[in-house]
Amino acid sequence: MTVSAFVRGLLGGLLMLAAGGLSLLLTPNREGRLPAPDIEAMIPRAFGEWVVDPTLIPVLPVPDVEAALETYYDQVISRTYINSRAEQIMLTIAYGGDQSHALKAHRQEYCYAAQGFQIQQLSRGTLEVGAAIIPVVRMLAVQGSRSEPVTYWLTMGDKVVLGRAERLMVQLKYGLSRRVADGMLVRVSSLSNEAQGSFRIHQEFVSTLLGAMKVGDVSRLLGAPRF
Amino acid sequence: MVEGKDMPNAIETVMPTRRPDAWLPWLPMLFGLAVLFVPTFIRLATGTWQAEAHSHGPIVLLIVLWLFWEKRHAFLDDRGPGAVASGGALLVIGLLVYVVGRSQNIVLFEVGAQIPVLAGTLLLMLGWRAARQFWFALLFMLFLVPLPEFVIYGVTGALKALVSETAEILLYALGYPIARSGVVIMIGPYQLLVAEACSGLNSLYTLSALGLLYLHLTGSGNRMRAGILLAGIVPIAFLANVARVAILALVTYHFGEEAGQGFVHELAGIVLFVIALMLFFAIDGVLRMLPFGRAPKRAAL
Repeated sequence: MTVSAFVRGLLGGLLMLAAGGLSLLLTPNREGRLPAPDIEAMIPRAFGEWVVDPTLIPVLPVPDVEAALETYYDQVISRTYINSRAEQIMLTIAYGGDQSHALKAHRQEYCYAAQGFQIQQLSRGTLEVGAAIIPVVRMLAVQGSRSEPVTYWLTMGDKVVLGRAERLMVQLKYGLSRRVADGMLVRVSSLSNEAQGSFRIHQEFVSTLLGAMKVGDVSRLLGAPRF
Repeated sequence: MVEGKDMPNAIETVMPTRRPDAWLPWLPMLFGLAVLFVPTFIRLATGTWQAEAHSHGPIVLLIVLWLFWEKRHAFLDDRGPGAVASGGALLVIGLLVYVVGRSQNIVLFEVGAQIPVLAGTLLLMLGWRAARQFWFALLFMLFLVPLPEFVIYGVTGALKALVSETAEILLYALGYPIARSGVVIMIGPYQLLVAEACSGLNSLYTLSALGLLYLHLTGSGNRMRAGILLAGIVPIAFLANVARVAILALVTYHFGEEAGQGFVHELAGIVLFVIALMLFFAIDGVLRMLPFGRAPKRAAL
């Protein structure tokens, strides 16, 4: 069967216009967004034996890391907590209302490495907090004499997602139903040469923190109600 | 003379297959392509291309446009019924990828879709034989697709470390007080962070594109020459970046931090890119002098 060039051209052109129209139809809009949480208010300044260290200018990770976070996220808090044993924990929580650019990922191992840290002991693990199991990434970021064990997780929409393919899937699931996936980065770190011990403190810190928060806020931090 | 509109005229006796209205069926296609991809390039120009890692984008686009323009005669030659099934299928697949990429703002898909969409269009309209003439333009469009972020992160990380290390070894051998921790170089009282841009991924990518174009234009009649030149791109780009980092470290050491960060920083990048390109041509010049490097005589235009 031969189709005349004109018909072929018309058919192709129509297909293209249809694709253009479909793209418009499937583009998520602002109404598809969840209301933004107020992270500053959501995270208590004192809980369990932890209080925001009043004596200390917060030991921020690195200025450039913070700058990068702020371009990707709408809200960022960085606090340093201290307990009675003078153990210090740096907590960074960042919220972004639109994670559709999130394939740029906010994987902290890249973020730290780009700032000259060497990333060691990078591994996936879980935090068991009450009935919830949070998948997390752990790593030891070293630069000169600074040794910083880091535990972090990322949420996208209603899930904790760490892998790239997983993020893409969640993004497509949300986006193609015209909703906007929001996202959260929760990063806990400390300055210590003893990574394993620090990771245990991180676990305890997160567990106490989540226990002290409102249930609704907790689910925001974990992406989904898991309690 | 089958029908009225195939009336012979002077032109047809020279190019018997070209019809005066041969451009007409292309109109809806061109309109469709413009509707789809003009917004894409606006999105690129206002977003992705602003980042240094993608700053080669506009040049590649110009080259792609020129590559198609160069073959413009092929659009109008009537080569028969077209490859309706394969062309149509490729077009539809490309369009689906486009829809996902465009609507979900996934640049990799949105831009990448252009290749199957255009390939499908060409097959549909021209059939395999004529469409094949565009293979290089379509291949070259790969350089238009922004590298996915995770590839950039992965490659730049490794490249940065290697560039920093080599620059350190070089300057140490020259007797400078230099030390390094990861991608942070300490020279004298100064500390330099080897940033993303210095990894050389950008220049490696641009150099690969220009190298490929150069080979295409000068006729890659000789496989040996083409192979050696292509293989040479990576070490050339790498050495250029080692030189760039070393020069910036030296400028900082001798003239202070201000000097190393300002105008010189930009200039070093550009100058070294040009030097890398000339090195590439120089290697080609040497290869052409060697017996195996000469293109076969018959390849002359």
